[in-house]
Amino acid sequence: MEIKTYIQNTALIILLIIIQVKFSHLYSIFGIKPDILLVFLIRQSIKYPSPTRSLIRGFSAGILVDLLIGDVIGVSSLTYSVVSFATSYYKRDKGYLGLSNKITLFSIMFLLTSMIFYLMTLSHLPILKNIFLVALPSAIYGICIIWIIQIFKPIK
Amino acid sequence: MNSIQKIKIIREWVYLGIAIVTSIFLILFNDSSFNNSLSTIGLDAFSVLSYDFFSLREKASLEEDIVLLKQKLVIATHDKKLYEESFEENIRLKNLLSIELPDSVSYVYAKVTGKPASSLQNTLLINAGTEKNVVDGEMVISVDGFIGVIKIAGKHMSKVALISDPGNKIPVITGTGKIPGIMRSLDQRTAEIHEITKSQIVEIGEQIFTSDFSKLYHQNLLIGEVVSVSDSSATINKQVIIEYSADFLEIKDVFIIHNNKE
Repeated sequence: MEIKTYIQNTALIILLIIIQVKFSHLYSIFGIKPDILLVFLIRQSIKYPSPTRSLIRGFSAGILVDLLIGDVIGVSSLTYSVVSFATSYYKRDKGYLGLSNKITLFSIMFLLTSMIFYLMTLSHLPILKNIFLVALPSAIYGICIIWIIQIFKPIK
Repeated sequence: MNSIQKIKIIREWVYLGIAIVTSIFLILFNDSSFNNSLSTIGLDAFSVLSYDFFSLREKASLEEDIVLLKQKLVIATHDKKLYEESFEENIRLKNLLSIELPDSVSYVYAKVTGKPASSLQNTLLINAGTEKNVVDGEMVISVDGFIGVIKIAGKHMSKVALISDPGNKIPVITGTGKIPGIMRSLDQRTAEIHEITKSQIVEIGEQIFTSDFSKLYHQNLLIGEVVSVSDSSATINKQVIIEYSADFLEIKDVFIIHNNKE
């Protein structure tokens, strides 16, 4: 990756954080919001399958979100780190990802993130309510977004 | 696989381990002063980017707000004249009876500059901080009533923990019967009031206010309205559900109640 790409990525992460913090209410459905930063991180981890770089990218983005608006500091950095690392690792291992692989990968990563994130930040909610009314809808919304972007701007 | 590749892979896993351990450390010490300091730095950094570049409010909308505020000012001035005499008499009587008068407060205006990035989170960002004398723990209200408390005050921005955070236990009092209870949030629209016994009368539609039971909260700030009352629980208490008067996702302007004594 070139320095130009690093700068572009950093700027995009900051832009996405600003969008999430300032405009997330515009695209929320009954309070459910997709994690658009995660969409970006997963796509970047597939595009540049270096686990270490993806890890750094995920951790930095997560810690920024946590410090700014997070209810529990450290949760986003934990989930984004794990997901970015795992995605890059899997992509490097597989080489080429077919359609079924991508469907599985996107779904697992979004579900994993949602489960860890919402079970930690909304731990007061009854677990089934948390899973079925918050974590799953948020994950499904995120998966829809990543697929829409994938259709218009595919990454291999 | 040669040894260089093996070392590379081990190194990657070590890095992942470090990231996980650091994150878990931050989670475990979530309310520590270290995390608060980090968060303050984050807020200050973000405040650089959060001027009104991104404001979607049009001039026409601001003009409407001004007209509305002028109308409210006329009504408030009229009300003030009406109740001025009673208020002064009340102060005189309290002085005579040696009842301690509440500390004077001032209201710091702030605009909401950030809303929760994820589903059902309970934090707002506002554009007032320590430069406007805002400190941690101060109450935040909107025109619809009490909405939360300052969690972390940065220099130009602060984080507000909404009352909809179910971790909060807020002492409240009913409007008509003056029955005290403890409010715990259920979600971002509703809350349940505990410790109201079945023998006490609570009506649907009754307003709920903060009580003076706790030193943390100012009293008589509107929180919401009773939407359901039930005696069907197996305990001696009623099940009272209220709906918040404020819609936390739609709030644009807030006031911080600043205690001048501090």
